[in-house]
Formats: sequence, structure tokens, C-alpha cells
Amino acid sequence: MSDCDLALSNYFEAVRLSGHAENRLASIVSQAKRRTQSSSTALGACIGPALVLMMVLQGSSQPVSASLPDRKFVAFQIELAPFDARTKRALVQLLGHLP
Amino acid sequence: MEHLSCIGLERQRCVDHGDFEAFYLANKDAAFKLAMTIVSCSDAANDATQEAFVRLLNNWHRVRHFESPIGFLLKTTTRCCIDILRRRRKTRQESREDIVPPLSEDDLDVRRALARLSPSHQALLALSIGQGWSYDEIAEVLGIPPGTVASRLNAARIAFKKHWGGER
Repeated sequence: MSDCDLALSNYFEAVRLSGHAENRLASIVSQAKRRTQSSSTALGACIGPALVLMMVLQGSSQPVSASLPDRKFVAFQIELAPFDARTKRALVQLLGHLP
Repeated sequence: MEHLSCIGLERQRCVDHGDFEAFYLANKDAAFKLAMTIVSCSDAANDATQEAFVRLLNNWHRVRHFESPIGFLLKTTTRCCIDILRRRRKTRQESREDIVPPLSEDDLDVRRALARLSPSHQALLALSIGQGWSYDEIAEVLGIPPGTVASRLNAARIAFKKHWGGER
């Protein structure tokens, strides 16, 4: 594989993964909203960090990093959230990639 | 896009709603992934996927009898993506749909070089390298002979290499 093909392949993979991550987060937020509406659990607390990440991932021309809550706090909320371990890892990884 | 109502479709227009909905649910992710590879942005990919399904629904009475309705879907999705790339190129404006989630510097160089190619060259590289499709598969979706795919792909690679070298 040439350098050119390798660079393109890496790029398309990164884009594919970013799309997957966005879909995954959209699904998480959607599920959390549904479950919050149908029960009195404290899942609402999990929606905040997920929405913040969604906002960033969906793109914004504004400098979003300044308005982000403290990352450690977001990471802490993700850790407490009733998501499976894989989802938590994905969220924390995404948090680490924020600008 | 969990349900047909989410893409603004009128149920009564569907000859066999259950049939179409099952097809939509089974194939929406594949269409989205294809669109994402070509347009590199989830908002634009969602738009292309939605448009493709709307066109599919309008032809569902015919397409549902095809041996492979998914072929029609992929072809339509690709065409919708190329339309989006053309509009993007025409306006030449950095808009929200041009912004993707954080990428590495190397990936951003690739993205900038790709953006300078013609929409058909971008689509060809996305289908060949991003999707890993064969010349025959690309030829079927784009409606051109496999030999033409090979020559255009070669031209796309040369053009990309030229711009990519300039970006680095």
C-alpha cells in the first residue's frame, strides 16, 4: 500500500469511527431521556456530560473548550453513570480527544 | 432516525409500509456508514441517507421487487452524497456541515486535500479505499464500466497526491 493510500485509509477509518461514536452517543442520550421520563431514577445527571460531548462532536465554530465543565467532573459523572463498561471507556476516550 | 416519521415520510405513500420500514431498519446503518465515508460529516451523512430513503420510498412499488433493493439504496445514497459534495464545492464556504469531530493533523491534511478534488474523485476514493469496494462494485453503483472506474481512480489518486503533497 502506498503512503497515499495508507493516509487515505487512516483518514476514512477515523471518520468512520467518529460517525460511529456520534451515533453511539445519540443512542445513549436517547435511551437516557426515555428512561428518565419513564422512571424517577437519577439518570438525568448522566445526560449532561453526554450532551456536552455530543455538542462538541457534532461540531461548532465556537471555541467550545472554554465553556466545557471541568473535565475531571465530567469523567467522574461518566464513571458514576449506569452505562456499560465499554460505553464508559468510549466516553472517557472521547473526552480525552476534545480540543 | 429511529422511525419513519423521523425522516418526514408520509405513511400513506408507502405501498407496503411494514415492508419498507423493515428494509429501512435493516439497512439504515449501512447507508449511513457509506454516506459518512463519502461526505465525512454526520449531519451531511444523515441528510444524504434521509434523501436516499425518500427517493427509495417514492420508487418502492418497483424497487421492492428487485433482486437486491440494497443495490438501489447504495447507488442512490452515493448519488445524494455526490450532490452534497457538489453543493459544498459550489458554495466554498466553511459551514457547520464541514466541521467534523476532532481529527489528527495528518487526517486534517488528508481532509483538506480531498476537499480540493472533484466530487466524483472524492466519491471514488471513498468507495475504493474507505469502503474497500472492488472496481466491479463501484462500477455497478456509479453506473460506469469497471475499466472507467480504474482509470478515474488512477486520476483521483494522482490528483490527491498532488494536493496532499502541498498540504504537508
